[in-house]
Amino acid sequence: MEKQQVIELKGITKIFGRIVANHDCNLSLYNGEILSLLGENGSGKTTLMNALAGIYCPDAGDIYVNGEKVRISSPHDAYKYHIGMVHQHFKLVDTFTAVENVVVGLTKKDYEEIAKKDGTKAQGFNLKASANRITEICNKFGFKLNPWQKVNTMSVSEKQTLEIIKALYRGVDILILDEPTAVLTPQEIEKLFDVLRAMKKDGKSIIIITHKLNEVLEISDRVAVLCKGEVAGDILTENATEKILTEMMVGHKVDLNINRMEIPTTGERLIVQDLSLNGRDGRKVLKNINFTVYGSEILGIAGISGSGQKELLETIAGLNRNTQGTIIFHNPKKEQPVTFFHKNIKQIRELAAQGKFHLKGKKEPLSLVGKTNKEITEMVNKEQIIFYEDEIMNLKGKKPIEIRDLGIKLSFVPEDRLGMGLVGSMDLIDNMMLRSFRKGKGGIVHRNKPAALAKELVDELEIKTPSLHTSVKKLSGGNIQKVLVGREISTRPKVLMVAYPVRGLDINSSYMIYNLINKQKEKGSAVIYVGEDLDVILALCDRVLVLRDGEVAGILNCKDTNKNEIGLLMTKKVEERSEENA
Amino acid sequence: MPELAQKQKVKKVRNPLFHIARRNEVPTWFVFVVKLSFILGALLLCGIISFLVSPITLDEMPEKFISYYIFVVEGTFFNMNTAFSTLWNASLLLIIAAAITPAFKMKFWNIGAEGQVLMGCFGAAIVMKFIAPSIPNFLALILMLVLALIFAAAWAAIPAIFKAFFNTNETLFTLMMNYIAIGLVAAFSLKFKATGSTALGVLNAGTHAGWMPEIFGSSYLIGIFVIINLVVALWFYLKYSKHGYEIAVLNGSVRTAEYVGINVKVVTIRTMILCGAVCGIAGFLLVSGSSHTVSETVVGGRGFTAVMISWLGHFNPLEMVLYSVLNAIITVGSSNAAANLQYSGEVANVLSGLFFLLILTSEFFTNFRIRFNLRQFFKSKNEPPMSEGQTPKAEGGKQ
Repeated sequence: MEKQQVIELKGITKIFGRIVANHDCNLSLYNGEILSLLGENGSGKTTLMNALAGIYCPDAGDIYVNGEKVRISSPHDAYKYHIGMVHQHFKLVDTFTAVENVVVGLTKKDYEEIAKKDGTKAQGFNLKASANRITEICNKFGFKLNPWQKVNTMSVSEKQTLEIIKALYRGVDILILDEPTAVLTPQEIEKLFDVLRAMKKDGKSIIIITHKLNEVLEISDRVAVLCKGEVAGDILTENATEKILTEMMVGHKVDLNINRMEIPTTGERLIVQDLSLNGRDGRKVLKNINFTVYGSEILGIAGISGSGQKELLETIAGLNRNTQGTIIFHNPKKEQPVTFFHKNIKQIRELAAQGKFHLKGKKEPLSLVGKTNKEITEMVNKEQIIFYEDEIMNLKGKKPIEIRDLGIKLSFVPEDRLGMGLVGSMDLIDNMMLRSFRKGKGGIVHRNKPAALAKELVDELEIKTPSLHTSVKKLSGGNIQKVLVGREISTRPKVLMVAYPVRGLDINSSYMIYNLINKQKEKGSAVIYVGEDLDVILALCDRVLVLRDGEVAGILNCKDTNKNEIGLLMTKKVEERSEENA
Repeated sequence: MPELAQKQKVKKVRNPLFHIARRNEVPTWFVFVVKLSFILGALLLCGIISFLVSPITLDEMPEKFISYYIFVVEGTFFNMNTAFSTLWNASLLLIIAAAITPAFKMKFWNIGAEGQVLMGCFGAAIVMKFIAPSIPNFLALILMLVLALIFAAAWAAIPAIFKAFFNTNETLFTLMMNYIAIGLVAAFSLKFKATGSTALGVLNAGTHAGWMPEIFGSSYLIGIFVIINLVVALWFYLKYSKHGYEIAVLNGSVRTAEYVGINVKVVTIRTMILCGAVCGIAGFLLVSGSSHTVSETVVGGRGFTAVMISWLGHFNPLEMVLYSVLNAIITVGSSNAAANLQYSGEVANVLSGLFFLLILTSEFFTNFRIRFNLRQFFKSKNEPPMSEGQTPKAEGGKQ
């Protein structure tokens, strides 16, 4: 087939407030080709495609479809020009069946156009006929989908299939996929790529938005790279290598290696036994979870999104208390002195009454009865009060504040940065004291120490902010994450839990976060890392725990495993079930 | 794909005339200039409308063009008495606006200030009617304050408790509590109405028991002084106290608050009790300082106007000073202008409503910018549709 230009974008510019999302972007697309749109998060890939799909109206620039200048002001408009987009967050009605989702919003005129394109008779609203047409499309391109299945019973990959079919049903010739592989397992990605190749053979053009280099090289014919809102250039895939593409993306050379430090672990730190959690609807979200994390170790947690990763971390952090099982925290305190960093005087008195301490150099239990607070303070400062044994505490059923009051340094960097970790409307300083604002006497908050900490973090982590008094929500994603991780690490945690810490971050910031996590490991912390990029988990973590449907599918040693093995563990059961359904 | 191109052969492509974009980091001087120009513009508009609706001819009143402004100033700052009265009105509005602000800051939409203040008035009036005549005046005032505090705080605590434990909708709940309070007060004043009247009437008119003492010839001064101190205290509370910090966290997200160990139920109820207590003080000052009685209309809608003042002041009690003073000047001044220029008092209400609507509009211009693309708009209109298959030349990209 002769190569023909189907889409041309000329000088597209889109500005949000002060942020220039796209500046003077030129891009063309030919029929029967797969074009990858590559760029870091925030480089303007999605914005540019949204302009093409009718979500945004560009501030300047023109769009040409088949050489015709057009103005696309809504997604319905885009379908008129046979352009369809599958968004990263699917736009489906959960309680509808697949076929209902496909036909929703179609007008009589749309049906007529579709029929005209097919060369058949217009059918109007007829779910059975539509279902038949869906099955035809499935057979043509090699999809698997039951038209009568409800969306809320579908897996993520099935939902994505449905979104693609929805576009194809409307006669789309140009399909845009926004980060289609982010939520899929390696096996599902292969299936998706097969379908895309079949569509390409049929003469359709496909644009894939992604930031994963290996996928770009595998699937696409041509790569266009966006850097800071501008098109840095395009290149035929056969001429591209990972190195070239990265340099185009970032604008300078980067080192793409994560160093996994091989250091001996320092004993058990967190032991989770038979942990189960009931969700709101009574279904078990976590089922008999068992694992142990050691000091100086990074335990990765992998799984399809929604397999219980979030719930597991939140349960350990004390946010879900409707649980069964035990969460044991092991504080390596044997023969170590007590410090005020962990305990206050009242707690020291209580522990002494239980005979947990001895005086330095003596064997018999220490009694603090009759001693004044001042005397105890002096003894602690001179490191004279020594633990007999390691401290062992059960965190199950304890609130976050109770855990902290026990002197346990447990840090949690949640997935939802502004909804849970930080308060977006407050400035950097106020966010620093989120977990410590009660300290100090009186009813007035003391902002000196948080201000010093904020300044230190801004300098050390190169946080880009106009001032310390800027609302956190005005910072970029990477800087927000640095503020959060920096604050959590500044408490010198014994256990650090991080959930999707590099989501939405550019390459440089991501590597900075990996380094920070590695440093914590070096300092003896036990780190639990929940991530979605299996390559990163394999490179960064010591062991990886695979969650599947709220159960531990396996714990593997990162040195002895590979992506495929993890991928199989992630999905095995899902596939079994979908076969039952079929 | 020839069939594709055919469908859209003749199609006019028009660029939008303007679009709206959000401003980032607006400098203070810019906000000041926009606000000031809107205030002046609103004043101008009020003057023009006033000129147009007044039946007085230019012969009768040569200065009619600026008469509105003359009567506004005359009605508000003509002499010490009117000036104090204006400031008193402004202060009452200010304290109620400041009172509901802590609740607003934690996204508890308390629109029940009207009822809470009224309950404060009710409490104060009960003491005034039944106890005050038989005890020393300072004791009577203290008792009035205590009962006003208890009544109003309880009135605010009820919806807060329901919100905390049953997650009821606070907006509807506080609104309904207003009507209950109004009903209670109406029943009370009917039961104990003055002889020959349908209302309670001025209490202790002879003995002045439970009346706020006058200093420098004004019974408002003590009240105004108390209110200024309270407003500064509330500002300090919100900005520098641990409680204020907790409220700010709750404003961000309830989940964050729970995670950092803030007891959301406690903060909700505590903050609403504080709101109610300050409303109670407002009610007490209103009864002892100026109304000396209680009736269903004694609060006069200030509880609702306060919602607007609180929003206009961006939940900063100090910023609210400006808007409450403006409100007092415009409402009192407009009714004075209406009386003198011989048009209906309802028109005066329309004027003050219009005035604040315009000031609210200024918020849009400080937050957003409108960018016109006139050239593109008209250019695109005249552009002939491009013929099939023709590749367009690269122009008109950057603008």
